[in-house]
Amino acid sequence: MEVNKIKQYFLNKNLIEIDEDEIRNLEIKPTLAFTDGENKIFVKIIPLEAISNRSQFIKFMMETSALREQCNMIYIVIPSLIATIIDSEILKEMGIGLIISTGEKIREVLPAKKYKPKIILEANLIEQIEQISSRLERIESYIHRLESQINQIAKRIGEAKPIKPITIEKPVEAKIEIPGLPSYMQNNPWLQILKGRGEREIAK
Amino acid sequence: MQSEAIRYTSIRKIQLVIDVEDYLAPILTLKDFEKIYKTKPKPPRYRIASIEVLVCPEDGNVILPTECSKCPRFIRRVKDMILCIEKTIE
Repeated sequence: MEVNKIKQYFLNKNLIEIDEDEIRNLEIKPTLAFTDGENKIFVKIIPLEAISNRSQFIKFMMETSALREQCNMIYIVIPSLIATIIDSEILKEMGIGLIISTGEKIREVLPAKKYKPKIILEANLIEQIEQISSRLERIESYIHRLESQINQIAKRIGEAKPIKPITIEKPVEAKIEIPGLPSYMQNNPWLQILKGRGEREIAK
Repeated sequence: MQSEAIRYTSIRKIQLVIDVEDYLAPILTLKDFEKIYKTKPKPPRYRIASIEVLVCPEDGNVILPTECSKCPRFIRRVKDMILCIEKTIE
């Protein structure tokens, strides 16, 4: 089957081909991969040996099924001869699109269903997520405890009688106003201190 | 592109009993064989072959589903039905 024709068919649908580097991490690789900016569309073309070899055909279908979880949409491309044998209803149920290649023409006879791809996480990443989630649980329970304590305190405050505010009256400072004093002596705080000291000595 | 009318043609599965020792013996269906001989066909003399056939809605001939692959009207197979369109795909 001509890969270029199939590639052109998808490019004509305003799709952009995904670089091989982007799908390098996949264990099972699609024959072609495209994107419309948002969705990943994989295309799996049936290998020639799968047409005559039943186990190869099963392998092809299993690989397609596994790939479905890695993309938003998946299509299989099969020759029309195989299409007369395969029950397309199964593909429809699985959400796999069907494209029939007659050698000269390529026809999409069954549209693919859109899926949300599964994100495969590494084992250590899962462990880290589990640790974070357990920490989060602890923090949440701590916050919950704090909240209840705050509520108790607020309740107590609401029940308490209001306390009169303590006001401290400022002592009126006696101003020494003696006419004829020089300007540096007028309203000088030191005079008040010295006056107090003198009064204390007299009292003794 | 395609015409709106899609034809559903049912596929008939037939199990045939072939007598490999007597080539002149009539080929019977499994049901007919069991009815006539009151026994199941046993190898090595008898072999059972399953075939699928359908009547082409275009010319009325009995054909194999695989022959539909050559027809430009063929769309796809759904269970035991062949889907094809009335008009030829341009």
